[in-house]
Amino acid sequence: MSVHPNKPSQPHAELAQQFNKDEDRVNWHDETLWWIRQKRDKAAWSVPEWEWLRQTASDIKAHVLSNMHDLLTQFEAQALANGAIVHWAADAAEHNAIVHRILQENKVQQIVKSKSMLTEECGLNEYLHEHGIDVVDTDLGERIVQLAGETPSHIVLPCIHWKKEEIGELFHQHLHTPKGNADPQYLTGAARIHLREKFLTRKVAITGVNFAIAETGEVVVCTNEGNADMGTHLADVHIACMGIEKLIPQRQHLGVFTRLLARSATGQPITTYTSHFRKPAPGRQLHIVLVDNGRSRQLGREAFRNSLKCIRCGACMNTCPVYRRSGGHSYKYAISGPIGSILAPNLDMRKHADLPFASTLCGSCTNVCPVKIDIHEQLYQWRQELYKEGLAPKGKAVSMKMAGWLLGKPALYRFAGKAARTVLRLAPFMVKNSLNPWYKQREMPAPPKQSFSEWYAKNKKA
Amino acid sequence: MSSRSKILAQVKANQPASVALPGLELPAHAAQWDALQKFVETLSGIGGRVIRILPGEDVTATLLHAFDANSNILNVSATVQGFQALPDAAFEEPALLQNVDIALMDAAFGVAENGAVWVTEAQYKLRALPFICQHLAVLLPQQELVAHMHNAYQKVQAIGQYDFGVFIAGPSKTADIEQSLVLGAHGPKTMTVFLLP
Ligand code: SF4
Repeated sequence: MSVHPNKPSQPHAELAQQFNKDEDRVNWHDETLWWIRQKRDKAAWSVPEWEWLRQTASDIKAHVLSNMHDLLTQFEAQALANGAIVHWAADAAEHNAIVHRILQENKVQQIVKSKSMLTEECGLNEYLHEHGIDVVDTDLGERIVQLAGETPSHIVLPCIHWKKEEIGELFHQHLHTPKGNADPQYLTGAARIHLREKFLTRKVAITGVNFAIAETGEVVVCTNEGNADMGTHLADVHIACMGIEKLIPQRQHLGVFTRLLARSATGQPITTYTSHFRKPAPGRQLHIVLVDNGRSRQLGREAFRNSLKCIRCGACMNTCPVYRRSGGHSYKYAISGPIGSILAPNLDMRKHADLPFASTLCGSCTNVCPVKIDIHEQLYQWRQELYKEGLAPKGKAVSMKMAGWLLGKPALYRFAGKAARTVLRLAPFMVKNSLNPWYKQREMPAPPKQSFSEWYAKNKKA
Repeated sequence: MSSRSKILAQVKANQPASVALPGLELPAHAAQWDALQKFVETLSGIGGRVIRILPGEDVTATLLHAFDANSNILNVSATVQGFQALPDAAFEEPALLQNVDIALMDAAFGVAENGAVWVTEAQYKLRALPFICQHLAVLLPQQELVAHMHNAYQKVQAIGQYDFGVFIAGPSKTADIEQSLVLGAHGPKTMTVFLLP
């Protein structure tokens, strides 16, 4: 299944290597994301009960995953009672066909859409485009990549890989802004005018869903720009597309998730808008499309089940040393970075076999994840699976097998660290070889003469 | 078999044994704030403006003073009288509101930890209003502040059911162009909260 015909199909490592050719750009990308990671840290540290929030969120989601059948039917019954129309889609193709049918029923050819990673996952834009529907993405970052004929490279920051001068040039071509103007304030203003016209005239608006509440049948959408609200409240028809894992049991659980989401994503205390859609406005339609697309299968894979807890905050990407230095497009899947590397092989193991290897298994993703998904352990599990299936990529298979063996043996791990430091000082060529793909295009940092544990052992006596 | 039954059957077959819901009591070391101070600090920090109305102060005069004299003000607040009313035609065609400079409405309560206010459609009448206006002005009694989102949702429950409700925290904004923060993405360019005594 090729849901992203416009995305390249080379292996991650090759695409990452291409991304790494422009060193200044990679450094800039790396630093920008790290800066966002630091903002997240500051926001998290400002809440003393942060770890309690993470654990509680994780536990609520564990409840959801283990009661999904009943919560889904409860949600459906409530949503219907509220006057919403509920659709069920087994896969991406059915999701796209449902959306298209709603558009046909309403005789609409032009629509606005706010950010929805689910519709990216389903390739909705391409599908509707092929059927003659004009889709305007209204999140600024998404509009930028759409004008450029690309897809988002990050789930929260869709055009994080674009420089303002390039956006200025893109807007000059498409929105006729003056050539050479790359001022973010000015360009955002131009986009505001361009998109207002769309909001005011489009009759159907598609949104994603951040949370769906079983108890009340409402869907909650979080944005900073206000584009989901501008789209839906000015349209006659709102289509909300959601993966079935977006459920939470009760409204009060939002208290936990709204405290975690924006802080984890960008370091904000909350998104500007947290909109609760319970009933359609009088005389208007609210459609909710519940999409499986591999989720019920993932639910049955014990080792990967927890990946369904994801609230799509993007923190694992911002912190990932591989993501930061390879860019979102190198993952060839709508959800990139560490969590995408767990979700993608569930859909197509063969096609995405290289992704679980695009990680150093450093565990930073697991440490920042607001719902405590054991991301790096699942990546390691995927490697085992792929290895068994004979799908592990060649060069990496050897070193990663070694890594797995080492990680399971803490004492050896410490010893190997010592050995590696010696090797790095005496024979750096042994580390910078083709068995170690992450050292491509970069010099290794000078190894510390002592590891932390050696230093600690020596200094605690003093 | 319909997709609905197929999905539900597979979910049922694959879901693990039920895990109980956790309790939501905050731990003893949870943050505590002076709600008023924290609210003002946080909302100002995310680009909002807070104006405190003193006892006996003329709210209308302060409102007028806070905005450009040439701007039109559409008022759906029950707290102050005057200004323009919501035109009936806007219910049919909300796009008519595109030239509203300032929308003035009451908020039910505010949240100290993040500077958000809770407003519902029943309160402000027309869903599109707080988003389509160029500037948003909100009236909020200063005793209606809760510490954090857990209390906020308790309060939401206590107020009662809504068709549409939203937490709004500051002006609409984006940082999609090289992470430079720009206030005024698609919704209001500014948000002012008038704290009533
Ligand atoms: S896996 Fe965790 S950190 Fe990554 S996007 Fe999902 S919720 Fe955020």
